[in-house]
Amino acid sequence: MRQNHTIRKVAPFKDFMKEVLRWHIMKSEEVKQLTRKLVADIRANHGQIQKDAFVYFRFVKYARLKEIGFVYGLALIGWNDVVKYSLMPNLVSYFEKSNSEEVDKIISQILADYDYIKQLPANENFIKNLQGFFVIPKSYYRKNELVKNN
Amino acid sequence: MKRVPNYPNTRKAVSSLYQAEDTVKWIKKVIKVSSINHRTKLSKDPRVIEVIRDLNESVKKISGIEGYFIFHVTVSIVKYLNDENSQDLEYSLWCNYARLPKTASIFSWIVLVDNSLDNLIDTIKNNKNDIIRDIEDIIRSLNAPQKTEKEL
Repeated sequence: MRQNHTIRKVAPFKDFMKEVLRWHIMKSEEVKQLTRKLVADIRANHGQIQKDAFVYFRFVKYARLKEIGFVYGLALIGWNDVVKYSLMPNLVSYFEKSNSEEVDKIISQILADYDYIKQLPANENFIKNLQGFFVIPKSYYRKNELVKNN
Repeated sequence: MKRVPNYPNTRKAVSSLYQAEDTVKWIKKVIKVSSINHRTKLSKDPRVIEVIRDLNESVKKISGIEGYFIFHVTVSIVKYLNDENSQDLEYSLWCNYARLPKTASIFSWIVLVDNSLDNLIDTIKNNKNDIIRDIEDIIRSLNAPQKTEKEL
């Protein structure tokens, strides 16, 4: 039988996204793998977090309705050990595309290059000190714009 | 029938962020919501306002910056587990990041903590370059090439 304190440790991000933001979470095995890698790295590098401390980060692929129709995106949602259960979670949405398959391709590329991305200076700081957020370079999701700028 | 949770305070906070009249008002709401979110009180000490203004000016000068890095200082009460009667004040410098204005997609983190406001202000002043360097790292990482591009 699950105990109440266990449930409280997993803050209700699904309800927050669905009921408050009206974002719909989409199943994705690659997004799950990304989450597993990030959480494992945080736990391995953050020496001060105790075994039962609350560190909860999760990547989510989501869909939401805009004027033009559904858009699909990738976000990082999380609570750290500062507050166990608060008003709203930390949330950073990296990008949104009108094509779900395009989002899947970008996520695959991010997963393939995860070890490179996590070594970027901002991400090393985030994983070791929980300062900042996990950065995904724009080059992974804004190729056309970058070509235009170059 | 599954009970649908109702989050009145959360809904109120999110809607206040989405409905901000302009970016300046949205930034004020971000600071307010972030401070409520982490159960802290906003410090309005004039010395704090001065150092925050200085940090904001320095962040604005970073080239290629994208999004909003919003600093604020909070005060919270810390209670000790081994002595229920004793408590202390804790002052924290927070940074909030949002990629776009008037959004509820905000990521917040503690930059510095101290039990004394004077010490915190001194630490912010003495470590301003390090604080700005962390923001520069985020911008540099956002602008990093793809692994394959780098290898080429």
